[in-house]
Amino acid sequence: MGRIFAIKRFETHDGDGIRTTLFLKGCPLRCKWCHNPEGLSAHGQLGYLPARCIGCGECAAVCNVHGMGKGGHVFRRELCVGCGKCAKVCLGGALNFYGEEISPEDVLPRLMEDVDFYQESGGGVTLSGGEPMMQSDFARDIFRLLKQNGVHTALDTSGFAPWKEYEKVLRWVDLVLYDVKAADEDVHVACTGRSNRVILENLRKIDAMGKVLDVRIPYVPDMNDGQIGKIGEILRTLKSLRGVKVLPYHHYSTSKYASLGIEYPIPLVQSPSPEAISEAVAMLRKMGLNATDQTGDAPAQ
Amino acid sequence: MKRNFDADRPFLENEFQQAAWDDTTGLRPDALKQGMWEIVEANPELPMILLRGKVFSFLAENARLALNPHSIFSGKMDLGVQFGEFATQGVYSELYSKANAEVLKRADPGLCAQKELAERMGVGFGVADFWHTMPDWAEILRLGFPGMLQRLRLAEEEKRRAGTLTQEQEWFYRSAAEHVQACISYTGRLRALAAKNDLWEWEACLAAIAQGAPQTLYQAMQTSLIYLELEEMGVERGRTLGRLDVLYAPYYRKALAEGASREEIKDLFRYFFLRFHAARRFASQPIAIGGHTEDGADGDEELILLMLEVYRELNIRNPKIQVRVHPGLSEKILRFCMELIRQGKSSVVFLNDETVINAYGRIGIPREEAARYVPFGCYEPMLPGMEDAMIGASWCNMAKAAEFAMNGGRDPGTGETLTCATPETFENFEDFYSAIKTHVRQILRFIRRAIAGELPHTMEINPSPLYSASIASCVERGKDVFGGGMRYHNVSIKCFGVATLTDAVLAVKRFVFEKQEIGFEQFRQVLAQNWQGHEMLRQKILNDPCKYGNNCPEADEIACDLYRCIAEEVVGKDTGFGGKYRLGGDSITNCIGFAQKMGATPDGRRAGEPVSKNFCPSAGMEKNGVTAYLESVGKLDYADFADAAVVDFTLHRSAVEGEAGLEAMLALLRYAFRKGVFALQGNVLDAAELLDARTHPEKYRDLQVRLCGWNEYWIHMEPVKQDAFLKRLQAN
Repeated sequence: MGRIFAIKRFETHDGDGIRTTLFLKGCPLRCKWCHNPEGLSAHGQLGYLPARCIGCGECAAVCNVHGMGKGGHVFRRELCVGCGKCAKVCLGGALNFYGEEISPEDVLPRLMEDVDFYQESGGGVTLSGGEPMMQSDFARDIFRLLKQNGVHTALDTSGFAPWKEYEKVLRWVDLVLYDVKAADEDVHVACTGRSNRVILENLRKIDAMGKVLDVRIPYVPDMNDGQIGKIGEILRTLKSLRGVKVLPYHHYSTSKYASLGIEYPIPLVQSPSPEAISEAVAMLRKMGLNATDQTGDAPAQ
Repeated sequence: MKRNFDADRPFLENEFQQAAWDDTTGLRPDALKQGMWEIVEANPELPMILLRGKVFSFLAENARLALNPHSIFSGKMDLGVQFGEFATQGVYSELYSKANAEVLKRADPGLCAQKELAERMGVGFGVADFWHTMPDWAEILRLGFPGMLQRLRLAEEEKRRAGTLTQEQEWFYRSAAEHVQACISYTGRLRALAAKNDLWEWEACLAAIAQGAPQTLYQAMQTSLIYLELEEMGVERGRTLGRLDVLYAPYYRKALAEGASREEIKDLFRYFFLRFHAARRFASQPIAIGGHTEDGADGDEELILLMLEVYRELNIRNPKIQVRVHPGLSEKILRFCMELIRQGKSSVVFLNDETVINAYGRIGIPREEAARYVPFGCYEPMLPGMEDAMIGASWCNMAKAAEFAMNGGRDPGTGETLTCATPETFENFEDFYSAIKTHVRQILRFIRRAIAGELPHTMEINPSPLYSASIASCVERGKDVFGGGMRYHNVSIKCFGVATLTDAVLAVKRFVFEKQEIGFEQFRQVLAQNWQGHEMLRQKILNDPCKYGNNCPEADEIACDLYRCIAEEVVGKDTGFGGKYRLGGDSITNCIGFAQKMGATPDGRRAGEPVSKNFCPSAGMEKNGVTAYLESVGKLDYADFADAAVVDFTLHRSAVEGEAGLEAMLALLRYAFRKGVFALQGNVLDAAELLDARTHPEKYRDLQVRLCGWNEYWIHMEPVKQDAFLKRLQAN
């Protein structure tokens, strides 16, 4: 069994073609710009969007952390154990449960729904997170089932996991989407709370295996934007690298943080300008790398 | 003559609204109207076809003209049309309106009353459609106006010599000749205007087409425009310019051979296309590209790309582009068109050749004839020179069957019964579903009756001799298009609201008969109260995941079954007037207008809210994304829909960025067409942008959305249409 927090269909930028992305719970990093905060904890979590509450009281009927007061719905998050029962009965879509427990066999049909589109577009299924390697057995079993069904597979990973976890899954993976967030260890620690040593080691090992490798660099102003050149120096030594995408930081996830009752870590950081992204891409391309922006397009020279 | 389109464009954009009518050239609309009615009153016994010949000539020869020296297609006549956001109809259309009202009331007052009742209930309508026409452009360009006139005279003469000329045929030839002669006279009037204003390039063009068939691209375009302007003096609308990649290809090739540059040819298209944009044509003017020629070859790819480049550059929604897609269609063209949609220039629809041809087969039209189809109107196919299909004859709101079945067959709004009585309550789902299908059938039978009641009177109401003069079989037979001149006189019935009906059926099945959360009669009361006091039940129903359009097998099976039921009542049924009924599945904006007359329905829809559009899920119910939606709609049998069956997709801009995004859009198209989907159109939008445009319209003047079979500028759309659009977009 594994724990997931979302399945998204018609994803066009998480690997080749039209894809379904399965998001696995739990991540060892704490990137300050993380746009999937519901994937950080390995446990079930409840997201609550008061604006969507219609005051039906169905949640209160199944769980006593919810109540109906004079002002409407009352949610005592501190008592919530993350079982998700309330989200199942919520009529307005105000309560969302992140952390469904499911077996690889049960999740497979959901991942196979768009198989015709995978075939039509050269797409497939991507496992993302969180960090999928936190549930490597689960990930391996899903990848294996997908491969047995002839589906293209991609692993979207932060690289922060013991190598033995990767060894379990990589034989079933066609494409690795690999995040490199900083070249300097101190910058990496400052941004994510962890050293990047194991990340860079794993990167070289995956490269040595000859796996098709796409590296993604989040570009976050005032955090890692000074690292692009140095990351480029690391990447130009790789042999299996297919492409590099520079992903601009955005703050679309602030409402998700709010719904989880988590403070947004970097409220003052602005999204980079398109010009800044273009410059970063151009810099990497000058280094001989096949760099693009988040859409997969290279900016005009 | 050297032209500068960019400098001219500001003077072209509003040339119809701000036309400089010249009173020295003819009569003002009020005098024209008076003159028209004097002719009518002076000829009380004249058959309508002859009366129209007299009136048509009078108008074409006496309406005042306007000149725009910045255009290369400079002239137009004033029939009192108001050019606002959309153009209204001119004085000549009043002749139709009067005849229509009088003839039908006289013929069958009982049926007229029932038809009014059906419209009041929001059921729909069934009429004879005179306004969606497809003139045979190949013939018009081959013959020119003088050649058309000569062909009419020769045909008449031949019958006269053979002693077979009937009085009706004589009337037809006389009126058709008057109409074509009026085209020549009008061309002459424009020519005189050109000479008076020293517009010698235009004058030479007009001189040439007054004397013969067009020889150059410029003359072909001008011929098309004059024909269209004159045919559309009445209620007829030439709802396509035809397959331009075929029709204009010889002129294009000739121009290149004579040394014209690509840029010079593009310039012609700039002025030509902008004419339609400026005329504010309602529902936009279609042009068709793609598909095979009669000998199996593709159209002129180079010409198509040139036209598409001009279209992209102009950033207009009118004309609109209809693309025939077959496996051999150039990938370059397909990508170009999809890119237009992605850029928000989404006035484009793709038709699936194989499905269209198969659908024609189901109404008895052989493959070799069906392969000649040209898309027109919104996305409907028609066989040029062979078929008139009255594509606007009927729209039927199928969601109404749910209201009838919930109320013993009565319409809760009027308290009256249009179809038949069915039980007041039901013990099981099967009986309820049977009542639903009874009402579906009865609605369609009523609509067929309504149409059949008008078809025998078409010649009394609106014969169309100019349209007929373009059709070889009409000339040969000496019969009007609306009097048996065409090979195929088909009639289209369009059914919409099926997703709403499906969800309504499911709601009763699951909540009344399976979960037993509410009794049938109590549910009827809830609907009568428009859900007041029952919001929780409404929310439960709305949140039930099994809804049409989400690849839910149970819902999709009901939808397929309902469409089969509909098809049985429509597809290939004899009209009794030399044709078959064709089934369509599109709604245009009737899903809003008709639904405003409806009460609440069991699917959670409140009274007055729109019902489902085209093949879309009910508004806000498309919860599993575009792939699940296409999987649902891919289960239908599109060969039943010879009229039209358009599938709409809506994508968020961020989902289809970059080359990968465009590839994904093309994959959606390939998937849909492999599943047999008939036609596909779509929007790539950002809901936040549309919302912002509501508060800052000045920033979004050019923001267009694919609304139905045409595009509208977002900021000019009525709020009710905007709301319906946003609801679906946000659910997506």
